[in-house]
Amino acid sequence: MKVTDSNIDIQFLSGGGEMGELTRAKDWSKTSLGPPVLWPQSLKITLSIVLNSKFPMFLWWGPDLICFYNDAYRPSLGNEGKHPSILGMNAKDAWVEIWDIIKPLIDKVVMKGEAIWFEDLLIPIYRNGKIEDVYWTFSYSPVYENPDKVEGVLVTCTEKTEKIFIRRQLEESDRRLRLIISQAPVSIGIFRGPDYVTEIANSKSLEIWGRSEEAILNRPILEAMPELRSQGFQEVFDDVYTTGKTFSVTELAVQLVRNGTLETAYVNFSIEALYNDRGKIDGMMAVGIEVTDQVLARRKIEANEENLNIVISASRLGTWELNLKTNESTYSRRYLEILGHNDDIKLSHEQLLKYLHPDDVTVREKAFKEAMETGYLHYESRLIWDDKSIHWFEARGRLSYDEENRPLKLMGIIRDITEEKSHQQELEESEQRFRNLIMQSPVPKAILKGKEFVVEVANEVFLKNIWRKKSDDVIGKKILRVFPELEKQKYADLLNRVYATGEKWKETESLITLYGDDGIKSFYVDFEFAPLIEADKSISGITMTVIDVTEKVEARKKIEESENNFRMLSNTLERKVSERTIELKQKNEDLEKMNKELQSFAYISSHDLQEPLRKIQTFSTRLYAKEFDSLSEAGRDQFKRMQFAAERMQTLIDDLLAYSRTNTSERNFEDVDLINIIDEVKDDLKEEIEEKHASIEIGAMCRINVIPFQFRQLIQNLIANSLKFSRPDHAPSIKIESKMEPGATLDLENVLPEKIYCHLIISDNGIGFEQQYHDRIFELFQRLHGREEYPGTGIGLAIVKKIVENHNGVITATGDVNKGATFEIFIPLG
Amino acid sequence: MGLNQQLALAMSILHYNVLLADDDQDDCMFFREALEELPLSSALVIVNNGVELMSHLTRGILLPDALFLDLNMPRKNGFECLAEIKTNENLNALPVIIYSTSFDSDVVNLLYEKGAHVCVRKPGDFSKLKEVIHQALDTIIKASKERTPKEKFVIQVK
Repeated sequence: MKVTDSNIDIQFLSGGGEMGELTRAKDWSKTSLGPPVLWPQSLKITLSIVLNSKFPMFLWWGPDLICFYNDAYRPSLGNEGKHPSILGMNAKDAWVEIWDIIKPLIDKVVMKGEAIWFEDLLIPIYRNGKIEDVYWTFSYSPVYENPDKVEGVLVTCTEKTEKIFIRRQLEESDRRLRLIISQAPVSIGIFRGPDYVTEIANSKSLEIWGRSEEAILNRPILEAMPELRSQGFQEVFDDVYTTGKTFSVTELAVQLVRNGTLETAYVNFSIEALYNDRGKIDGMMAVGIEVTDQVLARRKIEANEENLNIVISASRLGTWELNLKTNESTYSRRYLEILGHNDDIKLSHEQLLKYLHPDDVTVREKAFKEAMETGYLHYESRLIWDDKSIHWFEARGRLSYDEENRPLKLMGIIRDITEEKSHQQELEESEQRFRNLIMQSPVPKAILKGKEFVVEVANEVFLKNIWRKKSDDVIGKKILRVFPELEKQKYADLLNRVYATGEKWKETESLITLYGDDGIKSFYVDFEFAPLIEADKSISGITMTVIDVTEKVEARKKIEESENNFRMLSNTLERKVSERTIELKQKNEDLEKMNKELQSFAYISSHDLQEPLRKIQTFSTRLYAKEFDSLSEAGRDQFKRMQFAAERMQTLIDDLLAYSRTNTSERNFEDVDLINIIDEVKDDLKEEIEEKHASIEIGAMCRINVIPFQFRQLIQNLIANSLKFSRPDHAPSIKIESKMEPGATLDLENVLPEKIYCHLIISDNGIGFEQQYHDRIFELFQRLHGREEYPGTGIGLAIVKKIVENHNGVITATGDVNKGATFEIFIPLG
Repeated sequence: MGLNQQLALAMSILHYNVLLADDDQDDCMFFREALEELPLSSALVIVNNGVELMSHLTRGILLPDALFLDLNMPRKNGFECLAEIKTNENLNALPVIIYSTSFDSDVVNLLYEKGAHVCVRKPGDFSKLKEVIHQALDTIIKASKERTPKEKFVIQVK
């Protein structure tokens, strides 16, 4: 009955599904609550509510917080977990894994009697064989047994794990979307509401807009970027927002303030309306991409293309294209012009080919064949226009290939080169003329080409006279290979120098050694290396002119040698002459010096001798006058003799003085009449002339240029001489005459034949002299007679001779003993 | 009284202050004796070289009436003395009678140019010496205001 009792007692546990059954079936007596019959009413009521509730509920009861829960709660415990074991367990054991979390909550409810509520709280529990993160929204509410005692804690809860999971997924997908947007390679902006407040602006859009996130986000876009308003964006935004029509545009030029400056950006973008849940437009999304670089690049390409077209048209190039598969060709207007067409006609490839000069067809074919191999086409050929005139053109092209690398088409240009060709022709002709000039030159000339000095042209004389080689051995060869010996001589360096500097080099009589076919030969050349200067001022080679001047040089060398010898000889001679001259001069000087010394001796001695003599004379005259009476007859005689001797000495000294004066005194020549001089002398000698009864006969007299006082002395000495050397029994008869005679007629030494001489003759009838003494009588101190016979110093005639010599004259004496003497004097006039 | 006598009288009345510059004592003696024997009143001062002569002349005393100047003197010769006298304005009025043994024509020309009054050649005869001194003094009276003509520049007695 007990059971029955107990059954009855547990009526309150009826119903309640699985948990009701389990609760009923549970042997509660083993718990601290004891059998249900003993349970307080409050528990029974509460439990009944729990078990019968469809809302998940849980109940802790009693001091041990014994666990109860209903069917609705059961799923939260999962499988292989706490269900059903925790029924009737105390809370601490049942929720051991979260006891730390819930204990304080439970305590709060039990102690303070306050209910608590949590939403979406993570409380991981053990279920399904593991600890699971479980989110709960729950409330703990106290159950009172009596008003002041909390006996249990009622937990009503819903597990929110799944909901939260879904929300999380939603958030995640939202986050991902935003991430995608933010990392999108295009700019994406989302604007909300009628003010177009920027909700999202990814980095690309910020980049395009040139704004920072802070400047844009959560602000009306047209306010944040006012420059857009004036560019019609207000209207566009309004249109999309009101109509829902997508706006889409490409390569729109937008003026944007970026980094503080207004820039033009090109963008492709679209603006789409965004709808809310109710299908109403509440925002817009703008998706765009900046294509500024592409636009600019394309524009540049377009500009380049335009430039190219300008260049092509300016360069007068005709362009063409030939499809190799279809053989169809296209060409520019200029192309036709080059063919002689001014009208815009359409010609087929075959028609075009007909313009080609028949002789040049092979040239073109060859070029095309090469183009197939090399990919490049180039040829020059002639065209015959419709008017039959011939024109030159140059064609260039490039092959392009298809995907299978087969030749697809040829593209290229043609150029009219008629004028160039004619220039070239002229050039070639002038070059030919130049060559001919060299070939025909009588002077050895050759042309060396390039810096390798390849002999291009050399005329016959060059080959024959200079190189001494056959034409084939030299022409077309490098000169330094043909004549390696040039390297060791200066010529190789000179060629290089002329080639490098472009300056002409010229030398004369330069020695060169060359190995010709006839062996080694050294010879002298005059040569010139001149640079060969092209129209563009570049140096393309050297023109050589080389002339063999060996004969000339050798001849000159011989002349120089003999000249040298001659010079040496004459130098020696000159030196010797000069030596002799110096010697002679020295001797002359010595002689002159000696002469001077002698003269000065004569002068000084005679002068100084005079003084003591004069004193002797003065004393003697004084003595003789004063003491005359006291002297004996003999004393007086001796006294007289002494005075006589003194007088003779005075004469000697006077004569010597006169002689020396003829040298020392001044020589003032004057034009005088001899007759005057003779008259003066006659006057001076008047006493002697009268005493000797002498007669002086004077003939014709010349005018003569003489030193007057010397000539007076001369005449005086000669007349005195004649008077002195007269014969005692014959009165002296003296004849003086003169005449002019040319020197050439005079047979005398030291007479100049070209001069006119005054020939003065003084002759007497005196004692004469022996002819052998005719020279001696003129010498100083020479006397022919004793002093007793004829007194004299032997100086008078020496003075005469000296004076004659002073006048560049000649004197001769002719004597005939006891008949007379004749003095002849020859004085040159002028 | 004849003219010569009158002249002689006039000359004897005149008194000559004569200065002789000569280093030769014999010649000085001859000169003194000759001057003394001349019939005129004179006072003779003798100096023996050129330096002495110039210091005597520039001492500021009354200038002599005539200077007999020997050419060959020690210390300062006659040429130098002559040049100094003729370039000194206090002295250049002094008649300078060159008194020498011999005269070259060159020397004579030079002396004339330098302004010597006359040249007297010392003769070897005492009576001739008196004569030339007398003649020389005579030229001072006759030509005191004018230059001696060249031909009478040298006084010598044969």
